[in-house]
Amino acid sequence: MSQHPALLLEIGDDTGVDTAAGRISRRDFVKITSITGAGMFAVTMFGRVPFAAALKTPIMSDAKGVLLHDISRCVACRRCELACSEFNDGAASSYLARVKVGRNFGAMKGSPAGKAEGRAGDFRMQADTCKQCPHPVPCAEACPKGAIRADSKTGARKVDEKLCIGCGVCTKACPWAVITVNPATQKASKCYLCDGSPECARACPTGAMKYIAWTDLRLSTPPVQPGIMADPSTSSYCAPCHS
Amino acid sequence: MPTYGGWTGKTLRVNLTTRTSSVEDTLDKYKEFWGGTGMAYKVLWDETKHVTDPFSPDNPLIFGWGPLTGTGAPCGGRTCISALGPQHPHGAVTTGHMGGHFSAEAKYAGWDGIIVTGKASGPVYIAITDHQVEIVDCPDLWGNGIYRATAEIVAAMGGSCQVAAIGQAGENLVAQSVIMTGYSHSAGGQGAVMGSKNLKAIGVVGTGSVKIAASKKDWRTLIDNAMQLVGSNNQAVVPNSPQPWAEYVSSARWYAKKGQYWGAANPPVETGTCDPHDRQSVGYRCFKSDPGTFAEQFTVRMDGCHACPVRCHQALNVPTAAKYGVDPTAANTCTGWWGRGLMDAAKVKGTLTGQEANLKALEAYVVGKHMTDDLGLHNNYGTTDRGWAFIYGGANKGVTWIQPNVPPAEWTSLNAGLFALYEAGDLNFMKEFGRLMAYQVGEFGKFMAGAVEASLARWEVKTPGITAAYHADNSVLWWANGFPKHHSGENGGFVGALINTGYNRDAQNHCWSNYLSNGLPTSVQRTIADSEFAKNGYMAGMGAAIDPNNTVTAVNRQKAVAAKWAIARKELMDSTGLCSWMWPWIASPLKERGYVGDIALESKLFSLATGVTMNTKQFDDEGVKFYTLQRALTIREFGSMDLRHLHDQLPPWAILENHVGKVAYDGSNYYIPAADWDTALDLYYTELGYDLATGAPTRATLEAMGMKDVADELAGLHLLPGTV
Ligand code: SF4
Ligand code: SF4
Ligand code: SF4
Repeated sequence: MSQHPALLLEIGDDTGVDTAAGRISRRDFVKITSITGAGMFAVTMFGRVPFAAALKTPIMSDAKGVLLHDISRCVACRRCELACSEFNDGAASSYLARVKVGRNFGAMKGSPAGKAEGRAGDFRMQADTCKQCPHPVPCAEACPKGAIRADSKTGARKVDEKLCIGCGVCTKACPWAVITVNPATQKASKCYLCDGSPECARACPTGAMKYIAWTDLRLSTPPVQPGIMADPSTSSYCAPCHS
Repeated sequence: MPTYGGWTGKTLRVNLTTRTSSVEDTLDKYKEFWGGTGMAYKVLWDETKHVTDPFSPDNPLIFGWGPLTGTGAPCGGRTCISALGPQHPHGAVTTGHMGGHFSAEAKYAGWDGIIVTGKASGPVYIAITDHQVEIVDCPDLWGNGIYRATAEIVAAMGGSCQVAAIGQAGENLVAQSVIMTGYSHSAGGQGAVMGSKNLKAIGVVGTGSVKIAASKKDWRTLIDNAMQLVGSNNQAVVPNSPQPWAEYVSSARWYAKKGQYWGAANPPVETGTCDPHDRQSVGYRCFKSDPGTFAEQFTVRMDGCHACPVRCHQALNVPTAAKYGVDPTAANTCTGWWGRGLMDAAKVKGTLTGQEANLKALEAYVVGKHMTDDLGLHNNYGTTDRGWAFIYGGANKGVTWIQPNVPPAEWTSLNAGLFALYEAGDLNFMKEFGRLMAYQVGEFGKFMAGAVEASLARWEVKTPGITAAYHADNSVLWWANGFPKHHSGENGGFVGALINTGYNRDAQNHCWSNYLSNGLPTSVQRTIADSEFAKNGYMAGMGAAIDPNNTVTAVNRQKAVAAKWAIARKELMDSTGLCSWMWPWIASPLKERGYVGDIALESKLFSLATGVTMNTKQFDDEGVKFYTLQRALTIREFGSMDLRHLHDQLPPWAILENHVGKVAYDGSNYYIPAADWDTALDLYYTELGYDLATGAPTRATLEAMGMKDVADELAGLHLLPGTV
């Protein structure tokens, strides 16, 4: 698993962040980020590189684990959605759940949307899960508040609810559309791997949902929406590393 | 004002005549009746005083579920659809049940129930997206099957849309018709009520949530607890074949084993040993392959309802079935596969042998399923296929009952078409049968489509004796007052028989039959019943209520208590949203617990979800209340309080005296001596607080349940015991 020694900007890690200006506390870093929106610094594995983009989140190292959903075992019971929403939110909801099964029902046979390979045609039922994307992380890149960070324990891309303003940009950025904004709290509802003990996998009665060591699942699962992603060749945000 | 979880607080009312919708406060109007059938009985009691015709626009069609619907309470995906029922001779209240995900989605849309009244001027469907309700004209969908209607509504409303629709059968007011969701979950009996309202479908999308009143931690602990005690389909707790972890082997519906695969999964998935402590194999346990083990290689996966880990539907892919013009994939369970039951197995097989014969039999499942589920036909627990077998009469080929009743031209055409296909074992027979029935083609189509009592009465004119012959025929599964048996005396002797008299259709009640068929030896079942019931405030020695399947012994008080309990629990399942095909869990698969389950689980789930705390006894009393309101409704619809004689009687074939040479209680049969049935009714009515002479609830009983208004109205109608 790759580790960027100085770069982890982690929720729960208040020991500080290295910047070109020296080590500052995470809380201060957050404050500066949201107040100035500019003039921040990132550090690459090659050294400290200043740049002037509206930087919210520098490079994140890979997560430690990821959910793997097996469409040949899934029985479409939605107990994963229920565990996710009930045990995290205290309310049962497909919409709030950070794993999405119910919305793929309509792709069952008989629907004009049906019969697509790998989704629900011929009864094979796909649960959409967060891939805990490697850098560049689309949801995190898109967040205007830099609220999606790597969790210090699991590396899960986790929403810092103190920062989240419920704008919903991340919901459009994620190619798998697995983030929703909770209308009651106005906070993004995003998979955080339940701090390393995923409730969805525990609730799954067939083992279709598994928590495995991180691997890049992005290419093996077709996206469900275009997503939003800065182009590294033109984005000033990306330029320091990609020029 | 207390706050509750479980309920959304809003019930949707749609008037199709005025094309308007309105919102009712669930807690203000229906809290005492919870939801599902409880709520439906209340609506029907209040609103059908002067309604006699199930096809009247004033007959409310109630889509009900309950406070546990949409939550993680296991096996909570059911929908109850209630109305005055066109299948019943008196048009009395009936409820059809479907599983799937419709009710959960409706709950997420913010609704505790949907009440549809009136009649649209042309074909419409109701499109519900959260609190946005639209009545959409759909002349182009009318005349199409359920599959097409579902697909187009999903396409219009989005992938998470759940649809409940009728097919051509419901449109054409076929009494034996269904409302269907998810292509395989059907609620029988009310399809024609929906059709009479020009309502093709309801589509629903919900982005809301169902709040849990308890803390996340307490709810999680309880769900964990339930998931430890869950068994397989029908709460079977003993496997069907020897397993390394298992003490017993039985014929119960726990089929998983090593070397057995969902063979059409890609790659195949082994069901395996399924140790009861392994939470990640609960969904493999059942693998109920209705078409037999041959079908295992064609199984893509198992399927089922929202929040249910057990999965009793089998999803098949049989490519060769496509030659009959149907989709090779098909899912269903039990009598949901009934289409193939219309055909004689030997004729289907014909000269084929081995795998070829097996394959054709399996194709019959697929063709039959698609015929019935797309047209939206109901088999009414064997009524349609067995009714067909009765009138056709095998070698008799319809000469006795059909020929005299149909015009000569129709007789000729039946012989050249339907009967010829049948005799040839051609699977297209099922498609032709469905066409005749769903479109009510000719006298034959009308007979099969109609409410059975009405059809028999019509044919009685030209073939006197048909009604008596039909009722006397055990094979048509006909119960005394107009509906098929469904876990009656054969499952629990007096208990099953009493349960089967409780409703205006088959009882749809599995609380007791599940227990008897859970695979445990009878001695263990009795020991568990002794302890579980006593622990929860019931009389001692409830094990004495148990008679093994297909036997009966003398009636005792325990049997009356068990029947009352099962009736209450059926209403409680229907009013909270749980599945009567799974709940309650008197036993569990856990040897270390002595296989003891927990009959308090449902009340705990209800208490934590809603915040209304109840013990088991209080919970069960609510079920008795709901049932008693159904009883009052039935009395009003019958226009007589004497349900003892008009409603609660055994069919002739279930009475011992009608079987020469059979001996009472000798373990070889489950026939009931006539005099002992009277004793059983006395004991049962006593437990329920009903009048012994009539079987009607007394004023004291109704008032104790908080239903003084019901007592007053019945008294005004001279339908309350003690009033003349
Ligand atoms: S973009 Fe989507 S899949 Fe990737 S980390 Fe964010 S939420 Fe997960
Ligand atoms: S890991 Fe946790 S947060 Fe992520 S989908 Fe599963 S239950 Fe939800
Ligand atoms: S809990 Fe498992 S089987 Fe059920 S829908 Fe989720 S992934 Fe599929």
